[in-house]
Amino acid sequence: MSIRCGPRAAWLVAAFCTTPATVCAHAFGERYDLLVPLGFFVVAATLTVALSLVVAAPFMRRLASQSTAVELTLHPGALLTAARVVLGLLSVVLLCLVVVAGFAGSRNPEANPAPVLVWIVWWVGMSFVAGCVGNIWPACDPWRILFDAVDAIARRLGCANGIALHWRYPAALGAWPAVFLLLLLFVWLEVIYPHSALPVQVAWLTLAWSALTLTGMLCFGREIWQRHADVFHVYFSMLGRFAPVAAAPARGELVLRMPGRGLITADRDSFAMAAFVIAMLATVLFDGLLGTQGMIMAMHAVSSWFPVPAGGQGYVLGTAGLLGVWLVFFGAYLFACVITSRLVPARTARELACLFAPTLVPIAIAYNVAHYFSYLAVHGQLLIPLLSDPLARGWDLLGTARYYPDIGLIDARTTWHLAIGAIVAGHVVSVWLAHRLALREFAARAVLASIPLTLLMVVYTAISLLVLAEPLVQFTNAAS
Amino acid sequence: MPAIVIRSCALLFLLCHLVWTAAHAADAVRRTLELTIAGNVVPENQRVLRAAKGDVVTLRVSSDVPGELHIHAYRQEVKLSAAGTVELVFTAHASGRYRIEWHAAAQRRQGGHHDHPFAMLEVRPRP
Repeated sequence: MSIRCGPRAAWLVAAFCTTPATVCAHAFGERYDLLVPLGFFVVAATLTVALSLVVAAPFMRRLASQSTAVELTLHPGALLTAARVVLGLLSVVLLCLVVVAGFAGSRNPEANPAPVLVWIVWWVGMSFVAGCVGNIWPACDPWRILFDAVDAIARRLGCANGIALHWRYPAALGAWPAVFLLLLLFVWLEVIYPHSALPVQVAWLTLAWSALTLTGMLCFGREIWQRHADVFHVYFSMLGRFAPVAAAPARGELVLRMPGRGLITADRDSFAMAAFVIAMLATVLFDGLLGTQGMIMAMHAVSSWFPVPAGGQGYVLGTAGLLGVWLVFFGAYLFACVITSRLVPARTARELACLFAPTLVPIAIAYNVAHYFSYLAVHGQLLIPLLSDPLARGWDLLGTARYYPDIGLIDARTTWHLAIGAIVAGHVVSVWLAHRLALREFAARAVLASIPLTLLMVVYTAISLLVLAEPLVQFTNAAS
Repeated sequence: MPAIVIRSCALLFLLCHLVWTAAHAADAVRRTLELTIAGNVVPENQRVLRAAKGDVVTLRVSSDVPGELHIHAYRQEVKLSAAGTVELVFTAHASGRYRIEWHAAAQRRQGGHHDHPFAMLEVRPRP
């Protein structure tokens, strides 16, 4: 797909005639990034290893054990309430816009606000805000707002228990529905491409999710449903635990804290949440991995062993690939935990897996920033003209209908510095957090306990750097 | 803050800006790139066309059949109504990798498939 402003139907053609013979590397919108040059990669990889050693050094250990939580409570008061109301109303309006524009607007994904709002502004943009600023999703979540509004009205009308049926949620399921929904979402996003970007499909998907999530809230109660099965709620809150701004326990207050602090202060997570964190890491990397030569060769190798029906090949392989990446990552993580449990026998491998999983979140956030920043900055601009003419009727509501995205907004060099900086910083924060956690849990044996996980983090970080960098070996024949 | 400080800061900024632009204006390079289309494909060595940011690029497109050439996102297009050569001149203002697509007049209605790019324009940032 292309962003072209030519008068002819070429871009409609581009959007519709593509049949995914091969799995396409990106969900929506063609990317214009230049790969990170080898020199940057070498510097970053060296820094990663060197800084991991520094964090493990004795003087840093002392610092880690002594440093106390620095927290600042903010009292925005009425401003916070106003922001909540505005965000809430805006997101309910935007939800309606997605559905209406999806059905009634242009059939070209880049000339329709539905895919742009869902995949770029919300999925990528909200991940950035949740991870880097603070988790505003609960204030924006239109399904939560709609459910709570109806629930409040029901209570007002004399229904003391509200509208929820409060069925018992099967405890054995835990947060597994969220894990599989996240993987499923990415299969849809990446593999069922390009249909996932078609406005009509986006509208149907939105309606289907609305029906599912509202039914879930009705049956089990909003909180229970959101905590276990609402993949977006779980995803954004996990990112939000890294963020520097968080909601304070007291109503109407915010807390400003060190980034990453929230990842090690909360109660121990469930095993399903550990699987969820690994899925976050695997899915953010999968997008980049798909385009790499190694992955293409692996896919070809697999397809020659297991012949799948023609036509369905891209789907089957893509799905298997994503599940495979997740299983390999999860397997490696559990293996590191097993080794740790041998080194410090006080804890079982399963307990360790639950304990340390959140410390991997900074790596996921860093990769998100590295991979999506320029995409968000360039493709996010598509929204500017679309807000003036959401239904492709030739309107110019805000006077911006003729705006064309500035593709030179972010220079490639800026993107490279940011990408490498984010990944190295995310890695260091992850190692540091794991280290602090180990000090708290194992005191004297902390260094020993953090060795396997630190090594694993170096591997994860190396993979994320490899995905962004130019191939070490140039293949002359483009893979076909 | 005293006005004098603000004013001198503004002046300094302006000066730096002038020096910067002057220094970089000198870098602008005119670059000619060739695309020789035969049977709706280009030779292997023309699959990736390289330029540096800020270059004034002259793209010489020649083809043995009529058709249209687009550079995605750059909003550049050129039409060959008959076999021959045309020149497309533009400034490579944004760094990145951009797809170049060729639509032969004979295949116009079929809509082409964008699985395999026809060629790429790669604009590197200046060192």
